[in-house]
Amino acid sequence: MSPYGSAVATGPIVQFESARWLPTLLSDLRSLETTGENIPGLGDLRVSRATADNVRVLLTAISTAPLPEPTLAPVSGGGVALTCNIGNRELILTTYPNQSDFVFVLRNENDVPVDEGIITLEQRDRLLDVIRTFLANSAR
Amino acid sequence: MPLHDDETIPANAVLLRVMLPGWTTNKGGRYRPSSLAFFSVGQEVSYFLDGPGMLPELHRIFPGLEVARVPVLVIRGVGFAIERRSTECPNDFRCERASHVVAGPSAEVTRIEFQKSAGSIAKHPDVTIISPEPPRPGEPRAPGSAIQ
Repeated sequence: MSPYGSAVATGPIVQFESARWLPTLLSDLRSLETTGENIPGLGDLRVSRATADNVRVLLTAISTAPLPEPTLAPVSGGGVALTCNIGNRELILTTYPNQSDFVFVLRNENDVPVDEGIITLEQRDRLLDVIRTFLANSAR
Repeated sequence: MPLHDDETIPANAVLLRVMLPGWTTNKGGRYRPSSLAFFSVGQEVSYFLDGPGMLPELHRIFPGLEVARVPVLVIRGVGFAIERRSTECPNDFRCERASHVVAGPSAEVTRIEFQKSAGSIAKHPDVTIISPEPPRPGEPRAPGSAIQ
């Protein structure tokens, strides 16, 4: 069971089947984990097992929310960023190595940050609130 | 580690940031770097000082990858320092090795603050993307291009 607990599957926002993008993103994550290199002039793109595990927990937790297909990209220094866009609106969740939390930023249609902060892997409600805000404002 | 700004890097200079697939975005009809291109766990981002032969050299070392053009004024405008790092240059680099620099805060900042600054750099209207040169037959793949 994920650290978010089984309530993730029964909360108010999670009345949906697991996203179709989950297998693809888990595969992309595996690729980041196995092919990342330290490239002088570009950055250290190696992703540790522990960091990848944290991203897996995050992906699993959000996979029941009706998000449009997110993308994963490496962050220089061993992090992984998950980006989700609806038009110009954007949600970025960044996992850092040796950290059991992630930094999020939510940008509106004008590309202005409207919410940002740090969420621990245990703060399921906060995570779902951020996603709910992202989706609700997107529907306006 | 906090950086010390190198005053020998002039205010009118331009830095080049090599970008991976996934580090760009298209917002409001403008194709530009994503803030991810300027994120860094260690709060230091690699750039190359633009100058004669630099762009072709980056295209040679990083074939197929796009390059962002970032004026020094934009970097310093968010309060970042620019420090030369010749020792972190690619091994087979054929330009002046002191052209490799890193940019980041001159005092430690939080991850959120760093990401805000990264977002400001990415969104700045003077930050643009230079398309990669078309690959030549038999050209090696770019390092990191297998990631996405």
